[in-house]
Amino acid sequence: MRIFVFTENHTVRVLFKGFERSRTFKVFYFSCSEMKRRIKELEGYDFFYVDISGQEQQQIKKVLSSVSRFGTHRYGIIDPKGALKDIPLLFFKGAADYIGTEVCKSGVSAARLKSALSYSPPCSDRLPSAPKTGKKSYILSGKDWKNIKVGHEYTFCMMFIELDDHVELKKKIGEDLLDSMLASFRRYIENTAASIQGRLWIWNEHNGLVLYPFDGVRCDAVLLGFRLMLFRKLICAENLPFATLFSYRIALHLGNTVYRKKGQTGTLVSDSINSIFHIGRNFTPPGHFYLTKELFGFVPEGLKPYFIPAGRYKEIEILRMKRPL
Amino acid sequence: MDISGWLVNLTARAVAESMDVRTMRHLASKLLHNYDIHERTGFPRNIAIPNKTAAEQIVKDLRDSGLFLEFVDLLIEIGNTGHMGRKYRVPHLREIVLEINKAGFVYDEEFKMFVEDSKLRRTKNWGVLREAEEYVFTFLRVDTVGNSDMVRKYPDELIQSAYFDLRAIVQKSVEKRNGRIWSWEGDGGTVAFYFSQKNNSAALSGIEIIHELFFYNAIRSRLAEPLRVRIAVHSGPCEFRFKCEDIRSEALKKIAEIESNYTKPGNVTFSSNVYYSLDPIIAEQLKPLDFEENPLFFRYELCWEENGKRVRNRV
Repeated sequence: MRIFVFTENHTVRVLFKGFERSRTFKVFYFSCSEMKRRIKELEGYDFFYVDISGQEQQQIKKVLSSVSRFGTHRYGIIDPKGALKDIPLLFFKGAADYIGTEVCKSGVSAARLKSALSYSPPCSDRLPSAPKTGKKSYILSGKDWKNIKVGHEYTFCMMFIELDDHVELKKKIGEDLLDSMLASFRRYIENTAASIQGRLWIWNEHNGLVLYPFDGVRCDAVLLGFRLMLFRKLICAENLPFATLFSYRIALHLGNTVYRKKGQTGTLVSDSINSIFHIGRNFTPPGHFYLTKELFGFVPEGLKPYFIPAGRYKEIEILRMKRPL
Repeated sequence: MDISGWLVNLTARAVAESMDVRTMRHLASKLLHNYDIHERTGFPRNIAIPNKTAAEQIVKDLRDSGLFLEFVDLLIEIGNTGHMGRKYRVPHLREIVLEINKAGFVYDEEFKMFVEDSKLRRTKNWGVLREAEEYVFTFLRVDTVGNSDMVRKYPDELIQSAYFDLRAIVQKSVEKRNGRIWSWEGDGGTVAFYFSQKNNSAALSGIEIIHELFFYNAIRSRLAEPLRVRIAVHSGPCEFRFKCEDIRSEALKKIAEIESNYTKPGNVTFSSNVYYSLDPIIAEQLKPLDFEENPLFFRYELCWEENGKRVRNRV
């Protein structure tokens, strides 16, 4: 994860000295004049700090109003001289961290940086939803559900899963048996997802959507999707009724949505949820596992050769997992 | 299993209240041949033994002979289906079974016997198989491909850690299907399945080990090459012995032969006697090893779809 620091002051580097050898965080320093250009390079879960030391009050106001307009990334303000009078206002405008005089003396810790990254400002639900360019505003929901509140927007890893050929199955085994099969399938997905903090959030007749909290560092749902495809035959033999080889498709996407309780999602409007349902239903063929490019970065190196480009859905690049036979 | 005095008394009461001495003696002689209740109790043959005395003596003798659980198996069976055409209502059975459950044994409806609760304890004999008695097992044998080369090529710490991981994968796959590792020699070992659908369980374990090793090689392994195994699955009669090295069994010889002579690296080979009893959903995943009319062996191999073709797993 990258941290961009915009500063004219070399002594600010001391604040981030602890991250020089960090594998999780890479810190880059730029001049404030480069801010507008460099911010465009930020990926979804990157973070930036702006150092306002040595600037006039009028200049500070200008900087603050411009950073709050960027809106799509988490940011913090570095204020070694305590020049800001109204600090809470910063947070009202969407900042996620403020490094004042005291913190400047002790330096920034990894724990603080993680807290800033997972901090969801009160105005986050007003932040724009994922733009269609694929670059999103990531509102990290964390490792688990502890800090996720109903009514707030967060970034989740979204897993669409559907039992294939249900029309044929209905003809073959009848409606009652299909219902019982779907209930077992749903239960299995629910339990398996729960083992890595996933929650089956929406369930339609033959498909569902599982949400996994996303902390920007790891995404175990990628591995789970891979396992569900690789172990399909064993799952059908041991965990689903009728000992028949069923087929299912999986699509995985990273997106934002306001979190609501299960069963209260009927009126939810979310571009990301629309996208995942479209990718799952219309783009992913039966028996396949597709994931969007952003998530490919979370695929362990050894498994990357098992994914190949599968085209684009709207402007989202998609990869598909090779099928185990 | 430690059998408390309370459980012995309760069982004796259940027996005394549900049947006459003749039936008791008949049940006891099913487990202890030529069991003589008069000799055991000291009552002359021309004097009737009171129900309570006979029941207490029988339950005590069966406990001392290590046949207490088998006797309760019989009580459950006659409580469910009767004995020699007559129905019996055996009181206190529920309490007896609960007490046995507490000691770590569960009643297996399919086999109509108590077996150890694998959530609490896992022993080589499932807590019930007897030394030197013959049973029909399904065996799974795992062996690492190129063990000697790997031992020479890699530092000891690295190779030991890889083999430790392999054992953990095998153990997890087999024990969740009620299999038991009977022997393990560094780079491989032999697993036995006895209860439930043992052929299906062994087959699914073999396939799962291959898949888990794929993940291990792709994600976790510190070796420069994939850790690969050969797995064989075969079923046959075998004497049970706690010391594996004392077992003389044709089935174990056969599985060693199948593993070393008929199994390719990364494959699971199944003998035909296992294959023909597998559920169709599993059997459909296997291919004959040779294309003869009556193939003797079948194999499973993880393959991937690549450019519309079937390609062998390389990891």
